[in-house]
Amino acid sequence: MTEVVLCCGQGGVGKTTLSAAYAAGRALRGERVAVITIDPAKRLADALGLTALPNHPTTIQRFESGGTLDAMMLDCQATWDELIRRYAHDEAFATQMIDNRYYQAVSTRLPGSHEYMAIEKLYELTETGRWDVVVVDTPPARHLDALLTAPARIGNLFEGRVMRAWTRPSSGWLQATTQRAFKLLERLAGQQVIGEVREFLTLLNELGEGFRQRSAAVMQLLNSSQCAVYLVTSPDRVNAESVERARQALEARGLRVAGAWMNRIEPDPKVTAPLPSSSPSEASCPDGDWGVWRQALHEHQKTLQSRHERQQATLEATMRDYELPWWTIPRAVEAPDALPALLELATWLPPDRPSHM
Amino acid sequence: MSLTPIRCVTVLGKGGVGRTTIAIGVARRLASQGKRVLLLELSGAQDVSRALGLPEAGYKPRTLEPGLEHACYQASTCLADFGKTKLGIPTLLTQFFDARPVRAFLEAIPGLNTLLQLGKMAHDLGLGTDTPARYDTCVIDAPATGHGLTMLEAARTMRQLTRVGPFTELARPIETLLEGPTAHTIAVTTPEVLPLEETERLINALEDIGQGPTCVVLNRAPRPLPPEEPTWSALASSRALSAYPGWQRVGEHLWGSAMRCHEAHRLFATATRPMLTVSEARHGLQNLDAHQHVLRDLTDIFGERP
Repeated sequence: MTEVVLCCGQGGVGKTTLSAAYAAGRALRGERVAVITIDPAKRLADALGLTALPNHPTTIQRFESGGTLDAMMLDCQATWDELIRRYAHDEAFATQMIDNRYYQAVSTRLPGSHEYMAIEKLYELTETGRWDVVVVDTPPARHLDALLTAPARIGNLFEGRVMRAWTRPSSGWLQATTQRAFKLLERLAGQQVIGEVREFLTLLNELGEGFRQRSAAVMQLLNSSQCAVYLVTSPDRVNAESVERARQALEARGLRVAGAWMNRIEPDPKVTAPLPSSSPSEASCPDGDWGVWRQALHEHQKTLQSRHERQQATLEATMRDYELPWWTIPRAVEAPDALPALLELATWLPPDRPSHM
Repeated sequence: MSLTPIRCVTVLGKGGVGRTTIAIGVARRLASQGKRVLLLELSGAQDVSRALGLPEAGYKPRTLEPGLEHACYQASTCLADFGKTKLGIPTLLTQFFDARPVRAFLEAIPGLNTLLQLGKMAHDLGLGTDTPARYDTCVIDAPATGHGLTMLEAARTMRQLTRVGPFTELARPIETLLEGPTAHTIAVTTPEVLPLEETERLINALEDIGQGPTCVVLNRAPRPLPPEEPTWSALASSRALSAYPGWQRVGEHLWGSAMRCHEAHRLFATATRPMLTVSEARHGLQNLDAHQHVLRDLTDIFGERP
């Protein structure tokens, strides 16, 4: 069975790069690995030396060990369209749906839409059995919950009562509350919008069963022992409560947290003595220039020192009572822009499958 | 010198570059010029409160310092407010907004939440209302890049979706506010490879929607900044530091950082778009006092504008 690894965390902590590095590391050791990113900044593509990735995994590298690394960037709109085509009974219906103006506006902008499509895609990839492990660079969810409730929130739209209220507003049994609520909505949004939304939802309802089954299957997959989550963060962006909160939120949804990756650790910029005040012979420059360079170096050393100390204090406070395994990854001087750099980064990450599997 | 007032300043950038820090600095700077300023957060993430070591902010603005207030508008409260003030829907009736089909509908309208929040902001600035303005300027701590752009386009999205009705009415003053000459955007970046790449894309995207940044803020730049001259380059690449334990690494880091600062200048600064540099603090930014260096570094942010 295909194993699933979700990398979760805020934006700007290096999640995309680390998920690519982790995938590359496991592929190097002989596994068939696919990594999905949905980050709009195309950073994974940069890190893998690609300019664009299609909506299906492409093989990036075959290793001597027999392992393969495949990567893809999620195209949210394309994934929606694929879904519509899959569940529509005929082509004409699919076209009508895809042409609906509201569908076009809503599909990619619906809150949770990206998250949901990421999970859809994940499910699709795991179903094929082509990979040993699928690594997902999740969207930068400030609230991890946004990712995990995405199937449920989209599912809400298909919920019987909600759908019926929209698609058959005049049915007699409809509660007075709902009727009044609709009147209010028409005043608020205007009848035209309500009409278009109604058409959209009527069409969507036709596809409902497929979506419902899929949502349930996705949640089952995420809750199985085949799925693990790594929390990705950085001591610049985190505190003890946020790590613990994230973990609890994930566990409350039935996910298994395998540990935390603390990224961007500033190494101790330890120096034993100040630089000499006159230019050393290797520098071969006037004392004046050396003086300015020396001062810039001293100031920069103090900045790095203070960054290092603040990070260590945060790490100490955050991880003191953390019961799960955690890894620290040093700040890279340059962002990895090619596979060898990713593989080097991977040496800082867990080499094997999460321990609960 | 322009006499156009500054009505709305949106601070954008990649996750982790310090948008909140800069938004606080910009808001304080404007307040120190005698403007009544509202610093606004839309995401509900309470970044400003955390940066300043304050309890969570709510719908009702609180004063941070003279002339500067801070609020975190929840979309649901904005909706009830909108229903009440614009449509005369009694507060009691707004409970219907909680009915499930209605909630599902409201959640499904792209950008509606943002629009309601921005609508409230426009109202506070005295646009599309007879109520006198509470503030002269709003500073928005926008969500990270992609979501920040979606936010700026919320009004346009709504107009494409609906041509009549109150939501369209709601969108109008926001478009006026965000697309007119009184609106400003600020792109925040840091001297690191990925933020620089993303900032380039962000600036292009902003220019595409006619809201190119008024200025770019380069955050966490080393100070003093070694100049990009042959003498310095020779110094940085020489083995002069290898005899002094630890300094070689500091030198490499400084030079890399400095080169990216100069690159940022070349990439982003133009005759009409200055780049401001904010140095990295050597202490935690846990309260307003700790943000003093940002205020200092942003002194010239709006030039001599009134």
